[in-house]
Amino acid sequence: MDYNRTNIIAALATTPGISAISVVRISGDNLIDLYKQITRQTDIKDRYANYCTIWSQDQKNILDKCIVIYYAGPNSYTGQDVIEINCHGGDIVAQSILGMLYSHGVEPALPGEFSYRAFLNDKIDLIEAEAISSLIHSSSNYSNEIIMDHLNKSLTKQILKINNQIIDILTIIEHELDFSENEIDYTTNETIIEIIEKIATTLRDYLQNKKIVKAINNGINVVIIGIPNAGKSSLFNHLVGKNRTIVSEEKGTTRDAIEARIIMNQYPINLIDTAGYFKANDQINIDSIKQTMDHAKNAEIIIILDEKDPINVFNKLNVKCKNVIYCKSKQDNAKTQLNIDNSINISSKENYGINELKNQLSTILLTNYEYNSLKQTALISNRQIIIFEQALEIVIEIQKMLEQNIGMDIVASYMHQLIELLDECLGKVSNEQVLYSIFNNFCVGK
Amino acid sequence: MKKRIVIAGGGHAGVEAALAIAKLNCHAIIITMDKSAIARMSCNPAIGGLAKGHLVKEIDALGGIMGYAADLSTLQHKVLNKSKGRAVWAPRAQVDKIKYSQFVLNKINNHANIDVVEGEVINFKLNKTRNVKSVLLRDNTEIQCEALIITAGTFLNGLIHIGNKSFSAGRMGEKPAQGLTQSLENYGLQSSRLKTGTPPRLLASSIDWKLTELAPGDQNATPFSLISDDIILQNEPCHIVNTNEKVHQALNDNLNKSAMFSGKIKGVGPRYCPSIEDKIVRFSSRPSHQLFLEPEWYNSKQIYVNGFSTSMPEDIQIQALRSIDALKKVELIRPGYAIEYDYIPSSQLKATLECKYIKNIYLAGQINGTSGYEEAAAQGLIAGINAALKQNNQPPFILKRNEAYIGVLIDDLITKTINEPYRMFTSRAEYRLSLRADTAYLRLSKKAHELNLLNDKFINNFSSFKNEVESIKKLLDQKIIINNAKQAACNLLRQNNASMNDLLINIPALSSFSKNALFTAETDIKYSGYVQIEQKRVNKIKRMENQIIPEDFDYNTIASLSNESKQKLRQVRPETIGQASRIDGVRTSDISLLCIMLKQNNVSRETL
Repeated sequence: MDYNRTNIIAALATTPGISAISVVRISGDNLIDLYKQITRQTDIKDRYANYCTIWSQDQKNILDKCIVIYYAGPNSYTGQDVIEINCHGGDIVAQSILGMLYSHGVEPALPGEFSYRAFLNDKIDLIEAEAISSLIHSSSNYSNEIIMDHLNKSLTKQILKINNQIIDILTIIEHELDFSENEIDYTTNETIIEIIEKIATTLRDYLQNKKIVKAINNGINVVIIGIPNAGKSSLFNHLVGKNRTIVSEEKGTTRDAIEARIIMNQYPINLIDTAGYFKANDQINIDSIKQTMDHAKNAEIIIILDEKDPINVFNKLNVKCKNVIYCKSKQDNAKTQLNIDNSINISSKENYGINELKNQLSTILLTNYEYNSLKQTALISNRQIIIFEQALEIVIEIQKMLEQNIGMDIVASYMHQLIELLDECLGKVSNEQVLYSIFNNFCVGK
Repeated sequence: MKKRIVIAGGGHAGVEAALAIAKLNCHAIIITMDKSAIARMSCNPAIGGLAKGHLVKEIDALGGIMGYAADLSTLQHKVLNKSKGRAVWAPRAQVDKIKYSQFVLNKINNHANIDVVEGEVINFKLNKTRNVKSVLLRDNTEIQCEALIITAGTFLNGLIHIGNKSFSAGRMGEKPAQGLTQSLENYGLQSSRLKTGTPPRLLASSIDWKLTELAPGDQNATPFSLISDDIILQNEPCHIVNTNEKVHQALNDNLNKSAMFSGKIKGVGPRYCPSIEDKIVRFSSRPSHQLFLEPEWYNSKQIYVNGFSTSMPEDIQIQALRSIDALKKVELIRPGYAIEYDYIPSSQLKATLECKYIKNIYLAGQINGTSGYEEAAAQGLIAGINAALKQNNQPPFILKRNEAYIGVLIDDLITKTINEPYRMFTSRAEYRLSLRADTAYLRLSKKAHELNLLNDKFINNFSSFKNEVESIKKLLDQKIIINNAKQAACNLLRQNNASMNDLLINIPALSSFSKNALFTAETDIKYSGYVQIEQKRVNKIKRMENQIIPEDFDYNTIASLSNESKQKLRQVRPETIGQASRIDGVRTSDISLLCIMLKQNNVSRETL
């Protein structure tokens, strides 16, 4: 994939499918001529909703009559000239307009290419880019709040603040290193230690939430485990809400684990239906059992399903997991949802016990992944987390050095490293690989 | 016939250039207004100091003369900054100015490949391809040459200020150079003005020495140069006095008479080497400043007042100084003064110090906006080496920022806007821990050897130094028992306060090595972890440093380049992406854009 081109690009900016209007977005240097060609208009105003006719490439047919807005660069989303055609909905009109644009030499945009250009033209920084990417993929209102916070540059501002604090200290240190003892008065280490401690606290605050951030980004793994025919797939289908797995009476129908993304309490959840756990002799089943064990090890929450003794099944599994929900399956005639040993009586057929299961799940989610603590300080990408972790490591190293009276030349070198790292977080250091991986996550048209 | 390279100016830049050219088998012709002024130290009687000491070591490592000349004429030698980390330890020598220039002058005069001509270069001629072909002197002599290095110091339209008096001069008592700036401008170069200053010189017999504080050099100091192993350095003390409220009062009352404060001087002065009037205004809370009374040569009757650079009228200078007890009856041999001069903003130069738009004309030293003997000598050396290499059809010699302070110096000069005299600082080097003074030889001498810049003695001493350092490190790999635990000796050294001395009992063989090698090995081991981190940072940006921007690249083809960046890039025309990224006011996103365009145009090349 190559973002590094300067062609005019275009794409559908709205979701394909039935809708009242669709938006075709075009970006490039100097789009006035293209605008004139496709609309036959001569007087084009910047940022003005213009009702136009869109003509086919051979100028013989009318493709649509609709609103067209022209944003002259650099005051546009991408920093280049941008045209947005608000055409009639449905795929056919939009596709015919795009087809016409392509025949004018316009290239189809790659996913995230508009935002990539916005980044290159200094319209957004890397953190905003990540926020936009997350917004597109976001599944909950809570995470939206954090993302909007990032779009409002709160993390950018925080990083700049840390950078400025480091630069302030560095100014003092460098000054002292560069003048001999008789030329200047020296400051004490105390001021430096104090500021460094503040920075460490800030970084820790942000990192406190890394478990939640990772959960939001990657989804929380909830794994259903049980012996064959315990009713795992029925439960899975019930929770997902559609018949995704084959349900049959034959032992070991589900050979490979099946995964579905569901939203619960606004948390993205990777619900995983595993192969039945039993002693197998043939290779296929040995493989699928190994796979089940891997899923169990990576599970944040495990649902154990068994007709008789789910607790015993879990103990035999020999896997460490803090959050386990025990279910007795196929309890079509159960009187109570909850047993004394805290296991739930479930009948997927009768839709019995499912509510209790959902209650237990949501209690675990709310206690382990509390959104409220995220309000002030949150990172939204794994990249940010890694950088903050590295930054904290450096800060701790600096604190040790200050305690041990290590030479300031070395301390200064660590501080420079810290500044470079945080600059990298903002995208101030060019690193093509990082850029590509961020913008690759975008959808076309953004 | 040997290729002829003319050097306009015989100061510290000029002599290093001439000696390098001579070694590289070209013929150097120094043109100076006064033959006896070759390698004159016009200001302080000292070589080295903070960051400057690093430069002296690097010059020495590249076969330059400065370190050895300083060692031969040392009055006292001291390592400054020893209370701080080793990367900023800075050797400094107070030297006998007369002995110093005498030694260099002899070296120049006795060199078969160097001629000295008395005269003033006022113009030069170019051929059709804008190659320099000759220089013209004031007496109408024309000297043919293949290359020209201009090392004019403060002489270009020099103007001295003392209080409200001002007069044309290159230095006190010497004529200025007039005409050369105009010639450079005629060929399209831009010039601007800077100023610098020098303190008064006192009559030694008028000082009450009993009331001063003694300031000796280090005992058993190590000389600068690798070939000075048989030189025993002198240790003549200098003396310290302190300014007081009365001194400050005298200066404060007369600020309006200072040439620097009255607005008479248009050139910008150095922030880092400020005049005494600057210091009392800027650091008004400090009740006192230290002044060093330094002899200008052995038993000198002329004393240099380090820390009292000024452009006050002579009577105010006397009044202020006489407010210090030890200087109650002091008399001036000559007053302090400020001097304004032309410089050529150095973004007009390539990394070889050749002009971007005139072929084979190189500029080095104060003409590029720097201050200091060491900065000048370093540039002279690089300009000389490159001028000769080009004549010999050899590739240019460019030091990178991670290789030497000299690399940092020149890269800063060609990418940054220099609007005050540029002095070297260790903080300018982002890879300071690798660029320690004690690693200069290991960093640079192999390259110098390959270029044929080193003499036999140097080569011998270098190879034994290198072998020693390696052997010591090998010795320290062995495991020894310390504090009842068996561990590698080098691990012990990494502890903060540990030194080689602590290991002597366990590894007696260490005592057979030289002090220098032991120090370098010890510091290398102590710093190795940190240096590795620096190396990672170097690797990160390597690709940018090596990506060449074609000389004729058209920045207009990048439509979305910001106007500010475009203007800067077109003005400076950086040679690499690395250089471009360091130009003030060029945005990071524009650098990304530039990388992309270069790739697209298929013009990028990985070289160097």
